[in-house]
Amino acid sequence: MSETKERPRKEVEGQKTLEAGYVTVEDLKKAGNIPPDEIAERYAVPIIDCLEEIPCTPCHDVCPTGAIEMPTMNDRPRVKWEACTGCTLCAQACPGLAITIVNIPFAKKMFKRDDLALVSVPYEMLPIPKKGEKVLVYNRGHELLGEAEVFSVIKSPRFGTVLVNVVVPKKWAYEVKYIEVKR
Amino acid sequence: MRGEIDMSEETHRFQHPAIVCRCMDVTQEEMIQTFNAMVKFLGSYDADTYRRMSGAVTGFCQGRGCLQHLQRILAGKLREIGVQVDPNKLLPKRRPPLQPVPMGLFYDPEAVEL
Amino acid sequence: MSQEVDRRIYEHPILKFERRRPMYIFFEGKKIKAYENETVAAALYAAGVIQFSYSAKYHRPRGPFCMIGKCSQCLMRVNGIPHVRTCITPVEDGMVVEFEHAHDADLPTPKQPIHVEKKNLDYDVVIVGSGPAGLSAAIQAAKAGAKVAVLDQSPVLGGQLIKQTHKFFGTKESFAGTRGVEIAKMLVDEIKDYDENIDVYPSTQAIGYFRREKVLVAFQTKSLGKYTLLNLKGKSYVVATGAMERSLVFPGNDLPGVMGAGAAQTLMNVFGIRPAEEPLIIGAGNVGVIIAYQAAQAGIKVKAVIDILPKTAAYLVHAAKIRRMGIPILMRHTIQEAYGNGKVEGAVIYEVDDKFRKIPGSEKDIEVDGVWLAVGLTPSVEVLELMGAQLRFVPELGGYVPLRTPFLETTVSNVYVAGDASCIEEASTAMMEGKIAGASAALKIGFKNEELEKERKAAIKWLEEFRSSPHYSRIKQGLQKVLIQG
Repeated sequence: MSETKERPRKEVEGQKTLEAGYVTVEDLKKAGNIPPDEIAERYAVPIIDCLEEIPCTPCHDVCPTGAIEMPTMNDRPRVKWEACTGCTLCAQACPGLAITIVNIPFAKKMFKRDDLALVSVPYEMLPIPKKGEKVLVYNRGHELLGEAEVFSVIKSPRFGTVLVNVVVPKKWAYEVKYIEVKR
Repeated sequence: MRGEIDMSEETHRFQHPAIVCRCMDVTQEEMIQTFNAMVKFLGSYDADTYRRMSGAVTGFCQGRGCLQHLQRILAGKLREIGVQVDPNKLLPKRRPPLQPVPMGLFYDPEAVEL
Repeated sequence: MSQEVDRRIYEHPILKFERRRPMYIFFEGKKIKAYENETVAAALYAAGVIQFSYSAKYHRPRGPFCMIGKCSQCLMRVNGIPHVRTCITPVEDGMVVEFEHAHDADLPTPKQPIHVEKKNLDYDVVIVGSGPAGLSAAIQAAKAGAKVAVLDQSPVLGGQLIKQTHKFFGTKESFAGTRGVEIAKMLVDEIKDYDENIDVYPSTQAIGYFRREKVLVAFQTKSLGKYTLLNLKGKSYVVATGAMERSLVFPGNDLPGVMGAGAAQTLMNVFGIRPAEEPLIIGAGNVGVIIAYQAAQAGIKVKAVIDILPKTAAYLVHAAKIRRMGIPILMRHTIQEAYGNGKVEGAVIYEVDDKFRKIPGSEKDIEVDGVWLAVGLTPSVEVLELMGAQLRFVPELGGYVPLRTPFLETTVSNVYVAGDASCIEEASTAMMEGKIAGASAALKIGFKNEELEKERKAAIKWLEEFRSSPHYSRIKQGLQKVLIQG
């Protein structure tokens, strides 16, 4: 391995945490990938953990409302929060499984509660959870946040990636990135 | 049984050689010994001689796994003894066949006078 | 191996393994179940056989390393025929598979007569390799109306695409967001649309090239014992031979269970076989982390992914995928040795400092049953060497690569290069390079097609844009060193 050399890479926000192999919510906030609270209360928002300039466009290509802006293939995705309808197609299309959709207004309408959020998590493992099942939710560094109930499971043959919608306390909304089925 | 070898716990748990060429079974140690012998007795440094003397890159796979290691060891050793290395000259000559083939493949009954 | 072992995967979140007619083969007198579309090596591995051969000099046990017909570790005696590459030989009912013993110079004892047929064939474009680059080149050349031959040493077309279960990066033009396995199907279907123009030769290895006659010699295995020697004369050639996984030199690096990460991927994703239960992966580049993820999908518990560099060279979104699942990525770590009794039973890893020196006392002994090497790839340029193409050592591109014009013609006129053989990159860039090389190979020998020229121009522009990512700045620099004017 001694012959492998480091690739020069542009410094991006949160370089320290990037070395650990993942980004934190703080990094995303700094990069503008997390919306202000008043936006998140009104719209469903895609949280894109994509801080590198890599040649990749599926989220932009698949978005029906053009809410994800990407002038060239190497640009980072920028979300026009107001344009997003929360259709979750980008979360299913992303090759890096880097997108979760946080939907606070839906949780408000559905459960009549102010402290919940519906988070759509892309999932490509087995077993696939069932509606109503309790699953374990983790953050980006595999720290256990707690248990959450599965609201629904979306399986689309077009992408093959399953989308698990879990109901979590609002304070976890941006933290949840992975679920585990305990059976 | 044919091919049964001593794989007792003591000898084989930790005592493994570092293999450079899997086909011809050349260890890292042998590669270095070969280099020293080559410099001492032949005074030549080229990759082709190194290949012939060590046996690496001469096996069934024709160096698909070990060529880069042969080059790396050769370049490193040459630098140690103060010889300028041009990496573009560290490529031994490639010869057909590139893959193991049955010998009968080259037998043409019409072309040979018996 | 007293009780029945079955390493096959029956449930997978992405793939459905199609196992056709069951059959039996005999390995050293033991009856082993196999399926029609498996190779001999896959069937043996599924039954828990991990030792395939004894090494030549020290008689050490060896297992397969590459699983794609490049290394020599799976050579066995099949039906009395010596040195059969079992990893690319499909199973046949009642096959007899035996170990080979280098120290006994046994004469071949074939159970059936060996037939060799010889053919001389003329083509406009001969393409070596049927991966993303080779297939794209074939389609473009056929569009121009050229008569095309495509050779591949594997029995199935698609190269390494057939084991990529992850969705690809890139843009619409390079099928981004589609899984590699599906791209392979799409390309193979497209090849079928041109079956009047394209002749496909699977299980065919290029073994030589006559420079004066400009004839490529290839060796096709129709079935075991039935061979064809093909003398292919092409007006132009596209060499898309891909790359070979690198190995790493450490004590115990030849134990059965130490394999290329791509070999593990072949077993998991092509044949649906678990290569190990608790492997260690060396190298946290894109290949290492993607394979760790795919191993998790196959129900394998990856012990750790280690890399000697201070930070991962992988796309962060790929690394993040396995980090959030709790698979540890240990940076600044490397392997000291693998140990075990006839197979990998454990490995010792240690930490390094900024100068890649060992930090004393940092050794960790971990119990693993496999060590997968994802330490990079080397371009396979053997065929180009025989053709006489001028090579240059460019570490940025993975090793020795041919000089090439913007249209990917090498220093030998009418010989083109595409894909990983030209520089280690992505499958998406291989497809684009294939398009350029295939179109150029046809246009050069007199075919005219405006549409094709337009597509070639678009592909060149696409590549330029793709490589402008900071991730590819090193490759871009490397390419400058091998560019010549046509």
